[in-house]
Amino acid sequence: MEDARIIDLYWQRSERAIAETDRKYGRYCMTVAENILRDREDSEECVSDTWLRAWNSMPPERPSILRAFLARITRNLSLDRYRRRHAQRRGGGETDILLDELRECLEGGHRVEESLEAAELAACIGRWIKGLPQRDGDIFTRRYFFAETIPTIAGRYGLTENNVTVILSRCRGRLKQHLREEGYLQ
Amino acid sequence: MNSTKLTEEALLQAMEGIPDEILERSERRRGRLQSFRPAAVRLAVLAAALMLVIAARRTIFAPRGSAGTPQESASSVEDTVAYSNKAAEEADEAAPEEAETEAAGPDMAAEDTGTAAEETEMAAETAGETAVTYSAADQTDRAASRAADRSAASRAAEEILRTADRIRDSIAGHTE
Repeated sequence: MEDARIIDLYWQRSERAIAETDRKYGRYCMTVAENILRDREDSEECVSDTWLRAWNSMPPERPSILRAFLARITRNLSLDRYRRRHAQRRGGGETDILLDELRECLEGGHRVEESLEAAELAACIGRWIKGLPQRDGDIFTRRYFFAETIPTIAGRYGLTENNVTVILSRCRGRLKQHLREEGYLQ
Repeated sequence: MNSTKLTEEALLQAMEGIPDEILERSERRRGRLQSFRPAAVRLAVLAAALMLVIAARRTIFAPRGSAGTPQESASSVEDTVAYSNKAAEEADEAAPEEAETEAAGPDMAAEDTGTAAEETEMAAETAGETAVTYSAADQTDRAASRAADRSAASRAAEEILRTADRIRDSIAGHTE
């Protein structure tokens, strides 16, 4: 079923909306959740919560790209659950590895503001990634939005793992520079 | 207002600022680059395999005297099998005939010359029968061996032809 028709079902408050969403994007959202949580049960709960959030969001939302809209919801829910699970300690999983990689963007610089607007930081990231070359931006997105592993990304784009590692390292360096230029780091 | 500190967790969360079109674009690139190289490699391997099969077929079925086409080879297999069967039958027939012929001799000789001569001639007769039997059996074996070789070659040729057909169909499916 086309995305527009699925969205119409939400607006019509038809229960078929969730069934059709699950049929079309259930596996996709499951992958997004499992990349972050690495746990099937938790991931299934996140996906179920995603359908509830989607139901509560539409209307008034009418996303232009339903897949991306659902991916955001699933990702946020998964990160929240991950934080709750790992509040006390780092488990050394893939998400921890992502956090270790991103710490590079903050090292060696003094953080200017103690607190900042999360939305502003997100907008800053959005502006920055639009300026990246297409392939680099996609690889960065697969890694730090979708939490895909480096071998998975390498297979997706027909690159070697070393190639992907180098591209990601270069991107993190550019992000660090951008954070400085935006005034988040000195 | 949602305040946060600039931490790696905040950065990871802030990736939600990546626009929808980039999220979608990163999905779309999954098909293009990944499928191109493997498909090109598969096509090249199929083309090489087809060329090998065609070359092998030409080599196997090149006119070299009695080899000929698969159909000709099959009929020559039948001929060879018929020949070997006939040779076996002739060997069977020859052995008893010769035994009868020789039996008459030894019987008469035994009557004339006594037991020792009879035994000698019977031994010679047995040796003769054996030699004839071995000769016919040897011919039968050789004929059967040739028939088996031709049969195996014919089966191998048929298998190669079937493989070539499958490869052609596969390439046709890729190019469509």
